[in-house]
Amino acid sequence: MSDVAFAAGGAPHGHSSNGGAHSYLENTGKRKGILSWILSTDHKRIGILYLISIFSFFAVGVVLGVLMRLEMLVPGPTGKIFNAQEYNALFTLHGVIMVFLFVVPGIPATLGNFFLPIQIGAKDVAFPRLNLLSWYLYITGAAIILVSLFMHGLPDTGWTFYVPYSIRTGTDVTTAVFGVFVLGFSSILTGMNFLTTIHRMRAPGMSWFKMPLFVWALYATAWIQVIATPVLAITLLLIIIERVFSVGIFDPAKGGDPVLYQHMFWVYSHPAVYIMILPPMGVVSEIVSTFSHRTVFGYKAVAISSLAIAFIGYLVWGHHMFVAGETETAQFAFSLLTFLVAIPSGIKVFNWVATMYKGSIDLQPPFLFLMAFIMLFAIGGLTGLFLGSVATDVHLTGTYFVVGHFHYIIFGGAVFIFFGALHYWFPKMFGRMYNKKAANISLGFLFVGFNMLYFPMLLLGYEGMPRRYFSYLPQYETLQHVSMVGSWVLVIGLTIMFWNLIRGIRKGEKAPANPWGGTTLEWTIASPPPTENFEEIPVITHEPYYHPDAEMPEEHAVPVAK
Amino acid sequence: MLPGVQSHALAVDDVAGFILWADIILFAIVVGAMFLFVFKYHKKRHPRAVNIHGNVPLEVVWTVVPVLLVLYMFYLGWTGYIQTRFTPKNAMPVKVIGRQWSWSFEYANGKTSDSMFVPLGRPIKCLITSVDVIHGFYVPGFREKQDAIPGRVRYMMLYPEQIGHYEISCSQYCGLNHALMQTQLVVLPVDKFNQWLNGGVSKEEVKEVASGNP
Repeated sequence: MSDVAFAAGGAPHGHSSNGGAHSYLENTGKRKGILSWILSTDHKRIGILYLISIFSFFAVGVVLGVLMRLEMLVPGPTGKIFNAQEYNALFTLHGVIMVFLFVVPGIPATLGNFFLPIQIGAKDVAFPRLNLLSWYLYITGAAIILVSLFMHGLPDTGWTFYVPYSIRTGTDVTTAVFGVFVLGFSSILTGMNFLTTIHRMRAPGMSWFKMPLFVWALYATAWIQVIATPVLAITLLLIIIERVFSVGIFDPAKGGDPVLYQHMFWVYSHPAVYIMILPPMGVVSEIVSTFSHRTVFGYKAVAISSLAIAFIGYLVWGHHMFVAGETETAQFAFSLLTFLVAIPSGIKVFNWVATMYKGSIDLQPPFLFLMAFIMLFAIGGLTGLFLGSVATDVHLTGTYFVVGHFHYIIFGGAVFIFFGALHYWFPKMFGRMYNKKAANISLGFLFVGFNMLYFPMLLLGYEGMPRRYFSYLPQYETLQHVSMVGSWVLVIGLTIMFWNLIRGIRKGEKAPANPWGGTTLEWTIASPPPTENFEEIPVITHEPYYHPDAEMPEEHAVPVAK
Repeated sequence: MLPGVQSHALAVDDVAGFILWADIILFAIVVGAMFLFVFKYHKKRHPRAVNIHGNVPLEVVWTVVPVLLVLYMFYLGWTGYIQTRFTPKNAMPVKVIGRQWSWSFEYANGKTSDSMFVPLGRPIKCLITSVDVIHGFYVPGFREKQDAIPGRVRYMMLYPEQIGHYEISCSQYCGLNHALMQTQLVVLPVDKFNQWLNGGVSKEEVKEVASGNP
């Protein structure tokens, strides 16, 4: 098996069975039905469990988001669909669900679980049972958050749980915060598992710079999960201690310091933004190479920039607090560092676009999602520059501009590529193909709806509309209405997309082992993959994106990296 | 758009304008290149790809040029901001107190008000605090805000340069009626302001004076 990578690029259209090995979707163990899933330690089955649970919460989050937009039907405080308390609960739940239950676990827990071991030529992750435990912690944390809704009223603090409000409010913040605390452990354990897997279980010959870029991105993400998440856990515990035992930690009325909370919260939550965006960046590198049918431009720059983002990402949390009474020295330093963290992301975008140069581009649905990603992520990143600059941030922070900006990054960036990744790996995961035309139509609705929904927010924010307002001044009405209609268009797109994917699982055409001409290891095995992935562990001799039928420029006549 | 007559507001808009143009150019380059490549190197027109592994000089260029660009943006943003952090000698202090869910303003002579009245042309040093949870003192027309933190006093300078009414909003979520925690900043001619401050004239009357402007 010495030239597996070569075979992957060269013989893509084999039949999907793999020498009689059972697919992971078939039951071979002693357990039947649902037990064979929820007690399985197979990383692929756990990935599917996460997919189902995460997208269930995503659906809830979307409904809450659409209801929030509906509230903007009329300006002013009267004639509303929801009263102030209900609206405050809506945005709190929308934020908590989307951040902690959807985007943070997001790609690593689902597609990372499924494809990380396969991409490095391993049979499973390093600690399969710990992996299953992580899923149970996720479900437990989610269940605790759900319970908190029915105890003493819906939490109404916003997803940031800012003190002292979160300590004084009568709603059930303690339970909700405890739920997030439990979720944090799911994240930490997944990170540890991935780190160990990547360090110890790479196939023979897979040196660091022969790893696929998705693996690099998961590696950088895992470090953030392991190092930053405990800070969040401690912070949340301190809130619980303060609420339950009345110890003055954050509440100034008890002698505490409310700004300390913000520091502790953002020390985690800013790096968490990179937990959300790094894995999608890894997926982009995979998709752009596969559909351009050539190697990634600047492989090392893209790989190293993941680590650079993870590292600099720890040093910029203070930009969330420019108006929270920071000293000028702190504002100076955080603003400067914030501008610098933009650089590695920019480098990645330039390299992805350069990867299309002299490619042979196949405009399949995953690539179209990638193009949408490049545009939306660019707008997200470029609007971030307004928030890094102190003069403009002082005006824009706490307004709709921030809401628009981070939805461009997280939804337009991370989640659009999550969708693109589902379309990319779908044939591998289920051995079938969705309807490509329906996929393109759904993307059209998503793209138009997304921009209608969030672009007006950037304008509203510049005009001074603060966020988290159930009521607004009449001058904002037109833009609020455009945004509201956009949310409906977006929902149409989501409905078509999920209908198409779910239908594809049962009724789609059978997909071959390598429908796109991908070169990484997952495309060398059957679709769907057999239970233990590889009958024989492959030996890696090539760089990950070696497309054998592409032309070699002279300096790379011998297609071996080192 | 917002009335932006104060020179600091104009300075912020200038910084925003520079960033906006830089953004538009960067976006056009990246997205334009993407569409160009997708068209030119579509598999129909370019059936065989070329495996280009990279180009170090190009990599250096698109690292160094953006670094210089963002350093310049940083410089603009910083200088635009720091000019509001000096307290001139003739500055008039006004205490700004946030509570759930209203603002109150306290003047040196002990007068309090639920709208903020200030005289034209005199720098105002807002001394901002809160009596309960964190609020955000936000004056969009001046492009300025500062959180009101219980137990701490933070300052923010306002330079009123034109008579008129300006919105004040709460920009930091503070509970049930966060959205209704709005009031007005009214910039008055100096004589009217002094009359009001010394109780010679009601707030309705002075608000009348300032209306007709933004």
